Amino acid sequence: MSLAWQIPRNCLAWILIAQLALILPHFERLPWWVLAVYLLCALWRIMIYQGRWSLPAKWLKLLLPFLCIYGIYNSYGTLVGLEPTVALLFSGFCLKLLEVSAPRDAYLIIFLAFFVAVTEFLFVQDFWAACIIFLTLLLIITALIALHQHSFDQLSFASFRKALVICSQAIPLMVLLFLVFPRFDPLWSVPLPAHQAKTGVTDTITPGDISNLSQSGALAFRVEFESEIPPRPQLYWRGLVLSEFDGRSWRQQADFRGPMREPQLLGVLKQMEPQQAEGLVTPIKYSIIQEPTQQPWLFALALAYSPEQNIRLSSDYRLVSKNIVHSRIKYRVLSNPQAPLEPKLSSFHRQLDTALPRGGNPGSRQLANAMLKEAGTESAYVQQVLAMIRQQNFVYTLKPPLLAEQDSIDDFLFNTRRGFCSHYASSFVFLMRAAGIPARVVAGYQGGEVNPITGTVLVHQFDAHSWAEVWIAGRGWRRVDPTAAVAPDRIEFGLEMALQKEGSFLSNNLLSPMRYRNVVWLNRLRLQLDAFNYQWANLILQYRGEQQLKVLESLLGKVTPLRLGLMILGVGAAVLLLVALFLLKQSGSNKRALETKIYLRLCRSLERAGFVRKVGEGAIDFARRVAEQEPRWKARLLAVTRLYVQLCYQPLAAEQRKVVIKQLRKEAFSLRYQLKLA
Amino acid sequence: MFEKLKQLIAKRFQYFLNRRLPVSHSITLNQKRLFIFPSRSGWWYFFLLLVILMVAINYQNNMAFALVFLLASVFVVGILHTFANLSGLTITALRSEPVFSGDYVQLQIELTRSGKRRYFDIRLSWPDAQATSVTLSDNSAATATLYVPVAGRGWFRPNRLTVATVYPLGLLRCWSLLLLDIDVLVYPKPMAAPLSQAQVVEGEADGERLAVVGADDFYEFSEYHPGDPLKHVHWKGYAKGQGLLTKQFASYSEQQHYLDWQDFQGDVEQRLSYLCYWILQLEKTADDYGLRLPGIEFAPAHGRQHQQKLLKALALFRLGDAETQENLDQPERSQ
Repeated sequence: MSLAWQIPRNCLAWILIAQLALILPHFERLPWWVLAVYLLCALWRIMIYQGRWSLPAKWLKLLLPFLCIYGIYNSYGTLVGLEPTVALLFSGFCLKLLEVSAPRDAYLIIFLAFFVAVTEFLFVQDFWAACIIFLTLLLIITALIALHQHSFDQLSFASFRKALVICSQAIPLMVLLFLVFPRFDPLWSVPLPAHQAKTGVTDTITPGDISNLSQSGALAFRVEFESEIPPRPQLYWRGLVLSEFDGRSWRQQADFRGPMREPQLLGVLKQMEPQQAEGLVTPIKYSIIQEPTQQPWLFALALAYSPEQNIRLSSDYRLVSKNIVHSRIKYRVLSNPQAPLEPKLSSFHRQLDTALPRGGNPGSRQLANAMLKEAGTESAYVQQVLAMIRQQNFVYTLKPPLLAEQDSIDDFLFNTRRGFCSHYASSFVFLMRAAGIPARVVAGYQGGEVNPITGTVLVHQFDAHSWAEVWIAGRGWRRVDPTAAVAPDRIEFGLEMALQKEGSFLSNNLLSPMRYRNVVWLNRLRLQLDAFNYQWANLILQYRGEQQLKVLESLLGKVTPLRLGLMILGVGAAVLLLVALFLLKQSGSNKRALETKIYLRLCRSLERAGFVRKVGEGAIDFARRVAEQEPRWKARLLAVTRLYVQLCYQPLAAEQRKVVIKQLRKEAFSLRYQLKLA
Repeated sequence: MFEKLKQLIAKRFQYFLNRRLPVSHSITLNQKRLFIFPSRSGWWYFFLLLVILMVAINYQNNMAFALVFLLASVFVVGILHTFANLSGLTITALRSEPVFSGDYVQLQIELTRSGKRRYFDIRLSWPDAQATSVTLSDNSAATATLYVPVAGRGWFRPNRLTVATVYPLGLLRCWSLLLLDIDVLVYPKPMAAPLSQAQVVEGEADGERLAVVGADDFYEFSEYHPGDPLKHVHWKGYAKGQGLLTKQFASYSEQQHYLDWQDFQGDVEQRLSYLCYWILQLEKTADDYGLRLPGIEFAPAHGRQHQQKLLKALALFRLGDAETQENLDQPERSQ
């Protein structure tokens, strides 16, 4: 290669397009200035190409990467982790544009682009994202091809077509590999995407802090019930148990709530056995397809047990995954809603679950004591508190006023009286504990929407909810939802109904399709898309392990190394053979030229009109013979023949050829039309 | 030991090539004549795929698996596409002009396709010559010119020509090594040396021989023919009413030269270089010149053909092979 190697213009154009296509889906995860860096580098590159600007000076080339690293550190606060790594990759990839001086550099940019495309899959994997990323891949391959097409001096779709041909031929092989390749367990632990949950569930609840709960219509998880779907008010998806209160926030008590011990676990397993006796409930069987949460906790109906190997029960009866859920997972669950939770509470745990900070909220404490005295029993006290919430002027709203820093429970109970689930749950648990009853806040989701097409329950982020659990002697932890007392619609029909008056349902999310559930056709479309996404998640994204074995068994009968090998070789060879035939056909020498095709077609029309060209009769002789007998066609036929002979025997420039062929086609068409009329 | 092995391998490879790809004037590339292997970027691509596969395994990400499998399949399909970018191409050596030793031979190669498929970025190269890239898109044939430096006189046959392509993906390199039937005559390198008077032989009929029409001295009048330069029209005569006449000019070859091997000093190559220089110089003048080499003699004459005959004699002088002797008296080897 000569010193003054220039990247082909066609290739540069495709690289810039591919980079833009790579940046856009990543945009929400990247700092805004990365896009600015890209635009600057692209502009600079174009200016260099046109000879208007010069290459950046050496000191600038050294300075720019440092600036980018500093910027990324500033934006994320760290350089370790998935997002900063992706941002680093991106900025490196943009800056490399300024330094393309040999084919090697162009290859490097293209290879980096492939890698960046993969990183996008670590964040999103749904069908549309996959479509976009595979389209981007096509653009990158186009750039790779364009690198070897020096003859085009501008963006050429010939490169794109070639890439399309190659990729479509590669797809059968890709499917084969996808089906067959064994899915190993992770080889080592990897950095994960940072937490990005919008509302959902968090492990700390501070009711007074959020004055305007933002909502998201994103899917949290999906449930497939094996039998009938339980009624909506029973769908309390337990996720977290928050039992530590510091006067303002509720937290998990991670230190004391480890994995479930043997005797307790045996008790749970006993509850999971199918019940024969009357009056007892057979456990519900279902599977949950959990969207990534970047957390280990899982959601299930109370008293749950999962037969999956990497899911264990914690001592507060929650399901916890051994690994962090960074991609969509599916797990089977057995639930017995009637079974008691922790029928015997140790004195140590009793102490923990009645603990309150010393001092603070004097009004609430006083109220609790007074009400307990009045009620007499613990159960009656619980009912009285709920009645108080129901009867007094408490309001359910997603836009509550902020609560005072000090004595926030008092402020809520006696002052503002406006709030959402966590306000009610937190105050309720406080009142219980103040009366010496073990109680705790539970966070999770409540309800869900049934998709009639797939028969699955969709639980969205806006279904996030918190409620209370109260320990009653002999009955264990009982679920009490104070929100149901203030806003029964929230539990019966969902958030949308509960907020009908306020109109704040998904108010920050104008584009969310969930907002338009009342438009019938839009809703049907949404549900159909959801059904498709469900199949996608279920069949494609979860394709591993047992499912893979099942598919392979249905294809091969029995999965043996020999049969697998034969399948790979057979399908692979067939595909490659077809591709080779396709390529050979393209280069085939005995293919008729276009002009001959047109002429022969005309000859067939003449044959039908009664003029058969004799063997060995030249085109001109034939035309003369026909013209003599049928002078009507003379002018056209002679014109066609003249053009045909010219195309066959006269060397013409490509441009000229095109014109002549066009003319020939026109004349032949008119003549055939005349013949048909005759 | 190692050297010997290397030599043995090289020898076996040459033997293999000679059997598979013998000398020919024109050759059509097909599966028997093409080799294919990952290029350097192809190996990097493998490494990239491995890294992506590791990502897919560690994140248990099926879409990443799909992506890496697509890229791998693209590579496999690319083998056929790269191969197709050479297969079916006919490579023909065109006639090449003789050159002087130390110059560059201009070798012209014609590429012809049989079908309508476009061929991109076909790189032709000889060892020590700069590569050229050829694209066949609209026309069904293209000609590439390569410049190969030559040293030493005689018949020059270039080494095997490398025809290679990495199109479309750049990840695979498909190539062939062709031994084309190209023979280029290389004349000795011209070197200036003084010419002694002894070498100039007076012509027998001094001032009588007409050498070139159109030189500086007036020779005769002739009838005007359309196309004669107006500058040469005898206007004075025309004014006198003599009709339109044109002045004809000619120069007389005053001298005849014999360039003699014996008159120059130095070794064989030096003497040949001096002789070569003087043949070129004398051809520029109007003089006749002859050549005397040990064992061969050329009578004085003038003109391009004569010059080439003499230069060829110099080029092949004492090269020893039978072919050389046979070819000496024939005007030019044709291809």
